[in-house]
Amino acid sequence: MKQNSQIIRVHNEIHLKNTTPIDQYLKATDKLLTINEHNPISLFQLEFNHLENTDSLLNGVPYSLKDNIATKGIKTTGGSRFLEEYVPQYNSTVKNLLDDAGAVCISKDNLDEFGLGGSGIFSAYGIVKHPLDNLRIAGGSSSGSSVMVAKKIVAFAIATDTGDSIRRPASLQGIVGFKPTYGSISRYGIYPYAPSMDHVGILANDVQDVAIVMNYLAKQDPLDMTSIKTKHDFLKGFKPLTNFKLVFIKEALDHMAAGEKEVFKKYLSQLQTEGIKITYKSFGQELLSLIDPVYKTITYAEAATSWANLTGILFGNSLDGNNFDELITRNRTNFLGRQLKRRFVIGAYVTSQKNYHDVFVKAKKVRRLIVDQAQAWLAKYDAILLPGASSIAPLIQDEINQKSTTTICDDALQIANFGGFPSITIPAIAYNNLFVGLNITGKLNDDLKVLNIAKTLSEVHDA
Amino acid sequence: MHNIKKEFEALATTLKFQFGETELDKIVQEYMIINHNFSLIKAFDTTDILPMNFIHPISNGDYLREDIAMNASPQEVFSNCKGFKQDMVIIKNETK
Repeated sequence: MKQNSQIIRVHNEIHLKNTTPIDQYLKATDKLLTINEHNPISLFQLEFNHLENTDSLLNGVPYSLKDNIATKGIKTTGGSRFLEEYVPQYNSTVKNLLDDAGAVCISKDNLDEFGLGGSGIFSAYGIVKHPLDNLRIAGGSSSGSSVMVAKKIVAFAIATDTGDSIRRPASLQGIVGFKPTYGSISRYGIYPYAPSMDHVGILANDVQDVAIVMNYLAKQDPLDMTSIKTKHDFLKGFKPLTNFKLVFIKEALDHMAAGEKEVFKKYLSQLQTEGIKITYKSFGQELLSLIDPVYKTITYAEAATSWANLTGILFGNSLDGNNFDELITRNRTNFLGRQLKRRFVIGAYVTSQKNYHDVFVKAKKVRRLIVDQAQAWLAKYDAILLPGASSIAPLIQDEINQKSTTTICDDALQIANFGGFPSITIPAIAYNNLFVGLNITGKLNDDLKVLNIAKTLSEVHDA
Repeated sequence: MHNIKKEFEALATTLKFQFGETELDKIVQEYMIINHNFSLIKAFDTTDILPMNFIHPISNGDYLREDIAMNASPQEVFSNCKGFKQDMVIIKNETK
């Protein structure tokens, strides 16, 4: 049988003594340094640090962390000039769990500043380019982590997803991106963007690798008060399913780019020919068109709150100033990126006294309506399907000039963040030698079922 | 439009940073799109007020994650949370 799991392959090689963890580390780091010369996917390469755990499938397996995940004694910039020299005094829980499992972290990956941005062009440390076409975006905000996986430098990467930051780059690069149920993976030591929608998740080349990593990371954490207990055994329970019902958001297809849409429709037909039950249903144009303003209103407001501590006084870069106001103004003007400033202004505006009820409260009500509708669907179906993006990766220049626009097809990925639902994007179609994925979203705490559906659909597609 | 631009400029001063005129125009443009979309949803104004807080289950009760999102103090979060209140009582009794 073809072995698609990169983790199992490395594990077997180490177990059979065909390779060692240090060999794996050196091989991965060499590859990374070569690619990083032309594409700034990694901000820091980590020294070899390996805690032997021979029982673990992750023993000696190279992986990387998005640079908004705290690492003790190692710079964690969040992709921002503000934290250019910032060294956390503690590890995030995910780093500790992976250390305990014997996995080897080789890189802190580039990202859109603090996770704000969906393209990979908003890092203070350079634009991350698509691995197959350097004129196109990689997608973001987990831009560096997704390229690390797509180029097979690491077996998996840990990143964050507040709107689609794991699943959109996965779609654009033909890899797998998963965000679990809200609270399944601890957010202790993760830089916040919008805490009511922030999730930690996994990028990999195969669904099985995601299941393996979930087995080590889905642990309740007393250090994160949003953390939940997960009931699944992701190793034993990971298997194809035979009987499940899927529902596809009909409007999403109408908002895909023309060429991609035709190929995507053929892909869906192929799945149906193989016996996969898919119902096409309208979510409602009005609700779908409200996803974007709801997302922006709530996340911008939360971002402005989360990062109100960026003054340069207690931590972070700081310039000189004659008084308190001058000091902070100089620091924020010089060290915050334009995307952050833009979102902070709007976030503060929508929560100001005169707009609070008309905009912010309304957004929260509409979020609830969208979640209610998704939950009603998930009571009847096992999962909701969407295209992973409305098109292949846009050109970098179009993103910079704001000529590239997302549609409700892209926005609909945010439903999973509104409701905290488990959601995965898997490879689906190739178009002009680039990719569009398929997104699968399940009900709360149905993480294992979502992974099993993803496995089943991947196998049907491969066959 | 002019008023919003002025308000955003003032807000940036309150938030303690500066940006150029072009950037200000882009922020206004983005907000106008958000606002336009919200103005189209008058229908929801007559909808019953739904619970504001997204209640998410955790093993020992419920918490209101909006409170956490808006950086409420732990005391505020606890006071809104049945599960934690019970825990607090247990902890208090155990430490007596």
